[in-house]
Amino acid sequence: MLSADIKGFLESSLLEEYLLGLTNAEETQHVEQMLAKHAEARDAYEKLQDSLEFMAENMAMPAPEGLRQRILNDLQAQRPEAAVVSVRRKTSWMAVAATIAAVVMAGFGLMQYNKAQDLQDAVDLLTAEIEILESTAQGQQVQFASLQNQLDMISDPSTEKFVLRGNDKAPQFEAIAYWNETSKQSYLDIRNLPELPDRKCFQMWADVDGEMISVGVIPETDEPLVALTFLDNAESLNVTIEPEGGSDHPTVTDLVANVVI
Amino acid sequence: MDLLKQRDRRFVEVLYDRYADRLYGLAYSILKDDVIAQDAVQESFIKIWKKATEFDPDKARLFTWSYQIVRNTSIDKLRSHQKRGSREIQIQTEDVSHMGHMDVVPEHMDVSEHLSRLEEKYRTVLHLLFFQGMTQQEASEALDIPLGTVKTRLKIGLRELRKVFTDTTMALILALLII
Repeated sequence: MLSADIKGFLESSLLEEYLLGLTNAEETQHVEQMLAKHAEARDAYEKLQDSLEFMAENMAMPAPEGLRQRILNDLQAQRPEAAVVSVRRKTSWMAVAATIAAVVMAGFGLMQYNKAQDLQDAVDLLTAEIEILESTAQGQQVQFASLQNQLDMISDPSTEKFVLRGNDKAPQFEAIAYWNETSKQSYLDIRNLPELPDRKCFQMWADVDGEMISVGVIPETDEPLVALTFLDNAESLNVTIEPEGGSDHPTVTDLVANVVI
Repeated sequence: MDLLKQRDRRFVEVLYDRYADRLYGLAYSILKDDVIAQDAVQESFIKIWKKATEFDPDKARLFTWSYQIVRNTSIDKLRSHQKRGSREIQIQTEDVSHMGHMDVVPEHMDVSEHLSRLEEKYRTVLHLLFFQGMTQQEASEALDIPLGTVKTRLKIGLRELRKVFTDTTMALILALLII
């Protein structure tokens, strides 16, 4: 019987068994629930992982010559199904997203970029990301899977990309909307969000059958991609300036960008 | 090379450079054969790459997760290489008492010395479970002690280990301060 009592849980050897990968499905779920709910459990688990690293360091042996290259050759031979993505929520990630977007969007001729330099930046960034991912101090929160999903989506050939550029009202505004009607996903890559007066925000709308429906307030964020609400049969995307928090209906006189999709 | 492939390659390179020695040590410890251990590590890295999108940092650190993959892969190989019939359970006392290969990797010597302060009964259980890929049941049979005792020694062993390396870390920090 797996009790929800934290004290009993910490006194049992369940967490140690979970570390080893020895727990069955029921026990695993129980452990994960306890970890989610109790900071003491998380703390104990962090300490166990420290111990694992210490032990493994102690048992380390120099890996044989040639193994590294064999692994890389093997990797080369694999089909590119899984693209590895590792990220930290910092503005610098946008450089990588931009690089990827650039490669994908090369046909649009929308960006001038130095491919070699961007590639190096991307590689350096990835190295840095792995180091951070690995760092034990506070366990950075990284959303691997969701970013992979985003990456898949923007690289998908059936995804459409639309550039939104600001008009006179906000000439610096620039964003790229990724819109996929098959998977019904949409994301916004915010390139440049001009400063707005206090208590104002940018909001995006989709024109569906003549009616403007909100797909979201555009946040000020370092996120590389922001999820938007996907709407079927959207004919255009529009950005207006609205009061902070957004509006139910667009202030049409404050339209700053518009693109037909 | 296309961008995605280049990035993946870099990911594996960085992971390898950071973890290979530890993971190879683990595989070798379970398999006791250089060639098979290398195969295990190679397969594991490919698995890690393939499953990278499943990696959930909330559930485990990257090293912990990699460790589990190598451990499982090595155990699978051990089972398939074993003669049909009884599983040979080898408790090589040199392994357990040194818990490391001090002569091969001198920089680990300090760590081993500290680890040797851990009582043998705990070291043995930790070694069998973490570095010989045994289940708790197998360890119980190998050591001829009750399953409950294995669980207890696992728990206490790790707790004692933590004290050991906290002391080690403290000693290192002090040593650095003195310099």
